[in-house]
Amino acid sequence: MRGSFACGVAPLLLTLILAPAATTTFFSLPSPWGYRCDVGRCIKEDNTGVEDLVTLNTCKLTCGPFGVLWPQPKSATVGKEVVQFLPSNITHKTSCAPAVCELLEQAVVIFKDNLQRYHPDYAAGLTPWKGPWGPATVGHTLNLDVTVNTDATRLSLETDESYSLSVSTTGQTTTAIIITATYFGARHALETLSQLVEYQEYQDSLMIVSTAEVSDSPVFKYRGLILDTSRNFIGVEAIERTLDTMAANKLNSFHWHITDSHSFPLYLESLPKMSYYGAYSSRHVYYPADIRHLVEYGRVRGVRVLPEFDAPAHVGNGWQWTEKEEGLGKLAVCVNREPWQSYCVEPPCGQLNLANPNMYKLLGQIYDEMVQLFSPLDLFHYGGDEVNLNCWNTTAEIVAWMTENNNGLDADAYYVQWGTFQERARQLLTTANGEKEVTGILWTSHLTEAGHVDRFLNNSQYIIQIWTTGDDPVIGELLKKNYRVIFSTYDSWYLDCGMGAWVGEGNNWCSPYKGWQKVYDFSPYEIAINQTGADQRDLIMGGEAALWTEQVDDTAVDSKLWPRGAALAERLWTNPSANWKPAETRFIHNRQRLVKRGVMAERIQPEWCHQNEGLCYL
Amino acid sequence: MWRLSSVPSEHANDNTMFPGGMLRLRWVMLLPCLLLVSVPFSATFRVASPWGWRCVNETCVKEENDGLQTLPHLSTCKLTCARDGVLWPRPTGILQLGDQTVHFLLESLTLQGVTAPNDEIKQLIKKAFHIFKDHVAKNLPEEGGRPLLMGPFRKKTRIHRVMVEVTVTERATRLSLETSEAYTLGVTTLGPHTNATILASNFFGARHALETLSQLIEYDEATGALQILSTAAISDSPVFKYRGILLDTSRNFFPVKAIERTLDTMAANKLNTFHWHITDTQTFPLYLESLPNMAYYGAYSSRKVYYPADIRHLVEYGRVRGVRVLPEFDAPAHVGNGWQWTKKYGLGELVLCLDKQPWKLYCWGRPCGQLNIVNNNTYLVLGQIYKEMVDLFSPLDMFHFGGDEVKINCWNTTEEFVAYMEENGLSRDLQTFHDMWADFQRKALKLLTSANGGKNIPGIVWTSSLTDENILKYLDPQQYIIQVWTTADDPTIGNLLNKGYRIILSNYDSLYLDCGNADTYRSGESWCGPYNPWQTVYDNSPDKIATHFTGSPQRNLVLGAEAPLWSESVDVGSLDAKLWPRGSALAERLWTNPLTNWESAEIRLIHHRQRMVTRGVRADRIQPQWCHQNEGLCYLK
Repeated sequence: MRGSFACGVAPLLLTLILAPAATTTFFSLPSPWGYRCDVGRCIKEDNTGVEDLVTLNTCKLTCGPFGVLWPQPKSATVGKEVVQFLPSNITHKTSCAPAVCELLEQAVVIFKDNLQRYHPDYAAGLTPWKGPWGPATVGHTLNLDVTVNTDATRLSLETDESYSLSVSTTGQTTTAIIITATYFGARHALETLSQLVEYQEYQDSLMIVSTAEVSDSPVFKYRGLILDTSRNFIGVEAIERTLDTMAANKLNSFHWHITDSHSFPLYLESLPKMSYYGAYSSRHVYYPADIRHLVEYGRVRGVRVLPEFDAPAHVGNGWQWTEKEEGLGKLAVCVNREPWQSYCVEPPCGQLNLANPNMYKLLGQIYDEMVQLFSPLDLFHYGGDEVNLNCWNTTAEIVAWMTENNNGLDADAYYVQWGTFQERARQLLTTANGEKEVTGILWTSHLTEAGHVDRFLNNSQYIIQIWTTGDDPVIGELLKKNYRVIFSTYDSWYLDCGMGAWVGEGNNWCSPYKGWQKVYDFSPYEIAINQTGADQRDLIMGGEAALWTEQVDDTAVDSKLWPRGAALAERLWTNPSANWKPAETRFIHNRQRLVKRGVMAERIQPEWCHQNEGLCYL
Repeated sequence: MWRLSSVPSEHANDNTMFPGGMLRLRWVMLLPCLLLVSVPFSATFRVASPWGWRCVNETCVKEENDGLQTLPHLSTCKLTCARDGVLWPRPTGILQLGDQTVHFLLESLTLQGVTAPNDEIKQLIKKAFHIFKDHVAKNLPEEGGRPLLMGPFRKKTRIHRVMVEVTVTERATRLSLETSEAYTLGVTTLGPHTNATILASNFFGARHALETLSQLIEYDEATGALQILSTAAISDSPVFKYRGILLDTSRNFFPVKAIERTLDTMAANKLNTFHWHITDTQTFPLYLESLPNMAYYGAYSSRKVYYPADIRHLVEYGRVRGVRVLPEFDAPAHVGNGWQWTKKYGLGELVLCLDKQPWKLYCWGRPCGQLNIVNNNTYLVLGQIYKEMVDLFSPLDMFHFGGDEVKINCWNTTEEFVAYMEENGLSRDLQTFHDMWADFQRKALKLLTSANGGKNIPGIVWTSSLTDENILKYLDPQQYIIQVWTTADDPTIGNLLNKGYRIILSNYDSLYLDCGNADTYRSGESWCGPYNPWQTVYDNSPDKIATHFTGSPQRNLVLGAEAPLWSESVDVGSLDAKLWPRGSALAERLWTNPLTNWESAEIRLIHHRQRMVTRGVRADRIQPQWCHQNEGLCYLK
């Protein structure tokens, strides 16, 4: 302890007498408060003269049945004792295939860095640990022993992400044994292990729960976040931070809505004019090295970086140059056309020109380069939402082409052409991918509406991502027709809702704000049971929360995504049968942990609630 | 009218246009140019943008450069196009802006002359100029934390000098409700010299003028140099005297750096009052040298404490930026943690109902806590707190007593309290409790006045049960300013104005910046949801509210308004995004009091938001960047 307790009390007696204590030494006294674990709850009590109270972190690590693990593992036994150690005393040995071992080395570095960040004075590059420490702390070692049984180094929908983690302590050594089928399970185990560790106030050290047994695997295969980088640009560092935080929550898919009608921030070496014309500025561009870096950054963290190239709507800026090129013509129509309400759902408008075959040439080229940048792909997102037929039907070139080909000009005629576009897009992507089929993902749209979907889309080729409400009957229809689905229903999982309107006044279209409780309580299985009578676990791949960025950029991306993304993570990893309430204290602690790791996650309660468990009820 | 000379020729080689021809062939020519710079991924195409902006009817219209002339960059257009430029808040007097800019380098921006009645004021002006120049420097893109200088620059740019002259006539160095914040600013350019002349009666007007001047300067992406509007004539003064932001540092703690940033940003918006709701029931993060136990028991941790040096630093930091740091010590409710030690030290229980359950019976928001106003030691400690606060925040021109949300049932169910009432023959009806509360307030005022060396200053209290029809019984209209936190249609507002009370509006239906998140304690929206968008904040007009109730704007009584950020679900992670740019919307309402609604301010606000971000503030985005580059096209009709 820093400063003895007895001599610390003396100055307090001078309270009402003007005794300007040196402020810096004053607060190296132990806190007047300590904690006692009482039936799974940490109770704050006056420390004076009491021997058996512990620090808040110690209590949090050991008190609840799942400690402060997030997402809650399938099964876990967490011990009641902690041992102190220093982050410099961690060793590891691995048993794995060479490619896996290489990844594991990186995962261990990340793990150690995450532990460094628990120090309240952490700053990159500095060593804040100052002690003084007792011999027991200095002499204690944490040994990692990791065994990975297969050589997979890429995530797919078939990847086994399960792991077992066993922590035991004998004398001066704590050993963590991790056994998994894949690298991805092993890195999840390291995340869990990091959550059995916390900073120990007064000792200026780390502490770990001395014994724990965890056996864990996710309920849903696909656990994602969408980030839109077209409405506003999000810097590479902010995306790295997002991937880090997804990894901390065992989310595994970063769905990158990279382009839209607003901007084209993707630099393509074969088509540099797309971003030259389409980026907000040359500072708002993702260069090939950035993309490759982020794909790899995600892979090491167990996160698939899944690209979306939204088409045939949600295109626009970036395509202006083709018209001036001899032999290319206009490949996107209605770009920035006014009045926008007539041609799209939000300004600016833009839609691909189905009548110009050069459009497919360019689309193929874009796919070629995207496949290369994001390789190897196991999924590809085609977008495919919110086509405005009026745009096409008021564009002379397209009307003429429809007429020439005797297609008709009614809505169904356009749906057929849209369906054809989608099929050609799929072929182009397959070609770009060396003729290897990739499962495609599409948003719900007119093509997936009641009675339409099997006319246009083959259920072995496409997964449908649902963005309408949880009570949309389309969900039942898709499931009954054996489409695999991913849930992103806006009434629960759109993270951009609840702000002001950005066109006009009032609140934005999908208000109110979706609180973490709402995010947590939305259960895809319940929806499936309601609509089809069965939970449809073979068809429901999982879910994804969306952050559309009309009103978000680097400044608020963290606070919009977190901690609500963590609520999503537990829903998808654990699929708890209870609602948010029993998760609340763990959730708050997890949020604190994310902040320590450098994420500007939003506060959801006064810190008082963190220090007074269970008293912030209604 | 555009001067082509304001557009660079120094990068003539970069202005490569793309002649017609076969697609792939031409790229062979273009690619080396693009790739050369993209290989190190330093994130700049050094080729000129294909886009430029043309000023058409006060709107910057994005157009493709046609190869014959290169249109100005967005920032140049923004500076020169609209009648109000990109000034925020919009000046209220003369406003004449030229339509040309001249280029210069940061080191050529100097404080040429200072005329002031004494050295103290001169030093203040020098500090303000230093801050101003630092803000100008932040326009320059950074690389590795250092301003990135492009170049080579034309000789004309290199030799151009921008010289600022400031004249202040009065000695005021502290803000009060009587301070004139008016200024005039003239910018003229002759040959290689631009002169900016500032005249203000006091320092506070002068520093506002420097803020305005900083908004006449932008970085020019095309040349890598700074540019300033070559001519401008501005006279300006605020409509409302009191323009504030409230930050609550008790529900969650905010580091000193975050408060500094808040003061900086308030200054950039000419807001003048930082109302610091420093303590509440949850925590007592204020370290008092004479009462160290308050923070020792009451802070979340020893890292979450404001020490005396922090407070003094922030008070001075605000003063130099024209912002009054106004302390609130909320009482007799909204106290609690931090007071636990008094019983142990023989003073008795000075806070009642602390953390008492079920909380709903004893307070309006958990955790509970209310001063024991029948124990004389309460006044001993309260006087000590005031004494030290007066010292830390001195000199005070106002003090906030809080005074909201007393729950009578807390007192009425506390044995000690009830016994006292019985002993003194007091009947336990609502009227008596209110009388006792008012008596507490009278004692509090006396303690404060005595702490302030006998000098009486206006006190501010929140609307409460004491401020209803019977207010005259409890609170002297000469002594108290009433801060209204209920809704804009609350008849209390009319009642207060009719009785001659000065008021500050913080009506929650428009000005509470914490509304619209999820509820803190249950599933669903927060009590004051939905979110108050910037448009609502902007359109919340004190004039209209006062006129609605009394038939006149009551400018002599309506001192201004304040947007509170209660921090139950905010900490440093989202502080900036909650405060800005909505705080800017408030600033223009109060400084300018425009006749028009938010629509005509939108384009300027978006640019102003970008400017705040450039200065390091994590202000919220309100629209896609596309709307910033395509003025007027993000409408809804």
